[in-house]
Amino acid sequence: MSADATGVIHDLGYQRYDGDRLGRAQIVRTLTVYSLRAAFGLGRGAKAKIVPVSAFALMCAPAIINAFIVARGGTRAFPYDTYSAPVRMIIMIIFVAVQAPELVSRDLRSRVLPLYFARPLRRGDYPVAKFTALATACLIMVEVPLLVLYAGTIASSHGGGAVWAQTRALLPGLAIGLMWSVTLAVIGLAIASFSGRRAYTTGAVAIYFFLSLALAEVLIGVAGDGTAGARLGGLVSPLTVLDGVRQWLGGTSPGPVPAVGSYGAAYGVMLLALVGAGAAALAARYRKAGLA
Amino acid sequence: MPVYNRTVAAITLRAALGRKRALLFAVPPLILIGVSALLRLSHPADPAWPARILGDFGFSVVLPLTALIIGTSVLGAEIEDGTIVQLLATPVPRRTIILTKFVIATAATMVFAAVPELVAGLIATGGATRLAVGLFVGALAGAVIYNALFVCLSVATTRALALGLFYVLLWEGVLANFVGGARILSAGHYALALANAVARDPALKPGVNLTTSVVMGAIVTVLALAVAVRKLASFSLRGDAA
Repeated sequence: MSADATGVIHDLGYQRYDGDRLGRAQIVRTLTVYSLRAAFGLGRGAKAKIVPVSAFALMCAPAIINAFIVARGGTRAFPYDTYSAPVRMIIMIIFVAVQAPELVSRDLRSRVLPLYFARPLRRGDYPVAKFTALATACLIMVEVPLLVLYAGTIASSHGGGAVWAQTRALLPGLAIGLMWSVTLAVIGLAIASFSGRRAYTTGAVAIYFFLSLALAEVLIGVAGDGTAGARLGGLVSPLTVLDGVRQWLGGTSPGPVPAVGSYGAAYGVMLLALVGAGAAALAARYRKAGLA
Repeated sequence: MPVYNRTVAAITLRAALGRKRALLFAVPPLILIGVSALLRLSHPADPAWPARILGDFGFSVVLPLTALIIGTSVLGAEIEDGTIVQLLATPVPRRTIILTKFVIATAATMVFAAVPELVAGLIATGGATRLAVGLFVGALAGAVIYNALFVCLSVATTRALALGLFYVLLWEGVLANFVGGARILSAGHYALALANAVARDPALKPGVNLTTSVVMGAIVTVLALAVAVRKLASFSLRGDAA
């Protein structure tokens, strides 16, 4: 190539890249994998691991306690569909509030988005990769403790029938975990993508999730048992909406939301609206590769 | 030695509340006041509802979260940006820097959490009742203790906000309400005891008595500020490895 380049002033004779160009799909895959690793602080310093690792350990604690209870002859201490509801809600708020800004705010802060989009990456690919990464990270946070809970329980149960009963109870729990992950990831990223200041976006995500959760609990509490107000109070917070949908889809364990009864469909609609709004906000945010 | 520096105060105030950042702090108090007004109009079944919305929501959630975000950002933002170097290079004593930032953070928390708590209390209880005034007094005290803690945390670590979230959500939110022993080390319960001394409302459920909370609250505040001053005195700027 450089042989016929004589006389071309600007050809400095650097070696060209002749290998395969892996293209858009590979970029998205790589971005997803790196973002997923970043969500747990892998490949980063010890400080970046403190929050995700301690959050994961705290999340697993109830499942490990359960293993001891079952081994001593007790029955399973936590249901598969709600797990330990207060632990799961609070840990997931912290995890998403801290890690969603880690995935998107840093890129905004260091102004590298134009570099991403200088590659054969389409506008929508970046948010899709980030969403896939965070949703997978949330999935690990939610499902692994469930699997530990399951393993701890079947380790002490006898006979194929008992194991099959546990397996059948586990599967809906895993599906609910998937619902949680998708919802929390899309809302968390949508809020986090609005600013490059991590402190600011972490605060915004935490305020949105925690404030609305506390508000829902107060509304449910003051409305009185069995009233329509108590059944609809959970609509104000994504976490209680998730619990309402769980009950609507047939989850029987008591959760933070009282039995939704005939209002279940309202929770279903609300969940779709929340996820839709989050996805739309995220897509709109990255339609233009703004710098800040 | 002066404890307050007007220039540092002005810079801090502008950085903490400038532009759209102030919106983030304005939303929670507006929700608190709005929901209190809505509940008053709708006459909920539970007669103890003012204590629940003002206590469980305003006092236990809005106050600590506002204090957390303001308290960790007054100094934390400067450390993250690296502009703290310029501030430390001036002849302003480190103690003055900490105390000034603490005063600003506390004042801002009072404006964005304690005053709305009073307004919501006036709306919810229909006047200057014991509950409304008591919670206002408690929130003022809570703003002081929380901000001392969070300013200290932001000097000690670069991940102050994340660790503060663990503290507010897990320690104050879960442990202090289920484990009795944790209450003695809970800023929320100190403030609640103070509020209850005025309000005398059993629905507030304070976990520690008044004397303990005043003494412990003062100790925690002074200790946190002293540690913050010491930490800033030996402050060295490190690159963020994370």
